[in-house]
Amino acid sequence: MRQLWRQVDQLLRRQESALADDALHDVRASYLAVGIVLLAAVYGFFMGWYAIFSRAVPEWRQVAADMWKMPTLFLMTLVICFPSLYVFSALLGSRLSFAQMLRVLLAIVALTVTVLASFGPIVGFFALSTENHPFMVLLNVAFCAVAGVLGVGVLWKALRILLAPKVEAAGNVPPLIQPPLPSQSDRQVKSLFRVWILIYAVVGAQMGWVLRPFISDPKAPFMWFCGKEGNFFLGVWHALVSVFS
Amino acid sequence: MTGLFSTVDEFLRTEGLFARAGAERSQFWAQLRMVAFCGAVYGAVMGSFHGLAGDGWKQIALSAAKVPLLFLATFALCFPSFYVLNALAGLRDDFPRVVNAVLGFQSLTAIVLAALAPITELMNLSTTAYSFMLLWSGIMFAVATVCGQWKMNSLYRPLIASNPRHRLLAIGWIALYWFVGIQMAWVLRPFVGSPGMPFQLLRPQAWGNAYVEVVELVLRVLHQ
Repeated sequence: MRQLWRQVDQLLRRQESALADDALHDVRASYLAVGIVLLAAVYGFFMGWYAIFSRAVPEWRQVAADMWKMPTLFLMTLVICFPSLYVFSALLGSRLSFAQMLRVLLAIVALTVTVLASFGPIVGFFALSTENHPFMVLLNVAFCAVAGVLGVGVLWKALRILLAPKVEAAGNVPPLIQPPLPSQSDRQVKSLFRVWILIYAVVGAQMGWVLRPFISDPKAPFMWFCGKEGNFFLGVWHALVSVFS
Repeated sequence: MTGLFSTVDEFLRTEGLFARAGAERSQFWAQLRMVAFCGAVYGAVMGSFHGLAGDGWKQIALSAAKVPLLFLATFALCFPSFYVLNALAGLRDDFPRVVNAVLGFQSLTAIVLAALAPITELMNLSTTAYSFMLLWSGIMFAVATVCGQWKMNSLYRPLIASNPRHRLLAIGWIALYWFVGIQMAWVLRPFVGSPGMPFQLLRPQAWGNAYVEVVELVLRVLHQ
């Protein structure tokens, strides 16, 4: 446990350097995965408070549901998006192996859920005092969006370091293929990575939609999953429209 | 007691304890004490609108507890996110100073409120209009907040000079703090105590969301 905390803290403190440092060879993927599960569950716990305080009869099952849905959301999104990131970065001539790339992505998701878990108390406080269901949905979407943006921002910086041709190493081992000019590769990295962020965001959002309800409507009975209908973006739009009606 | 006063004095002048580098921990605790004490003074004055007749002392004691709670609970709720955001921005090493800077906002706000408490008490004694007292306290909080913001800016200035990223984080803190603080103040009502209502710890019927209420109010006005 202490080891786990140390790793997350280290990741927070020196993200870029930690990530760039030969792609985290001193960080264990299993620790990161466990950290993601725990921290996402912390956020899910606070998320579930709304179902306890907004209903006449507290719905504890919603807390349990959120506590496993949040880790599932992040891990599933990671599993789905990882192959495309790996292929893209390999196309750009990255030095990273499959396992190293996986560790980088795990570290990013761990950062994201750390930010999210730190928002947990605020979500809990609003759940305590708010009746309005769409407001709670939007608040959670906003916090997840902030966490996601921060995580992707770190990934962005890390990848620019990781994908840049290594100048110092070139002295010892002559590269088989001449690395592309830095400015050109930089532009490629940017444009490809933009596409990947879009994929990641859409997959994450839709995964959240598939796993809903996270914040169940107090007027409706509890259910583990909703039926197949609509999509994330329509859902947010409806919530926005109905906050004040 | 004199110790607290000299601490307040040192804080206002940025002397002694508050001028010492490396004393972040004792500065932190000193600031917490100041927020708790000064906030309680103003809360007690705010709650004394009905005087001591009947259950009057209950409202006084309650308001004296609520004002420090408003400051400290909001601070505690925003603290974890702020720590993580600072660490993410690579500013983990400055964090003790950052905490003292954002706490400086609360300290000065509470001190100014306590300094304005005698004027508020005069208003309490000379008026019977509940809504006027609500408005009055609102103005006092606004004045104190402006002072607190000024203090926070001045404490943040050397940090921003050392790393411009601090500016963004200061703005982030203010946004987060206000977002939570407004809702906290809403939840902790009543501070003054409406004359028509019996004494109550919190308003049970209005345990709601401040933002939703405000927008509903605006919509109601527009639809009329």
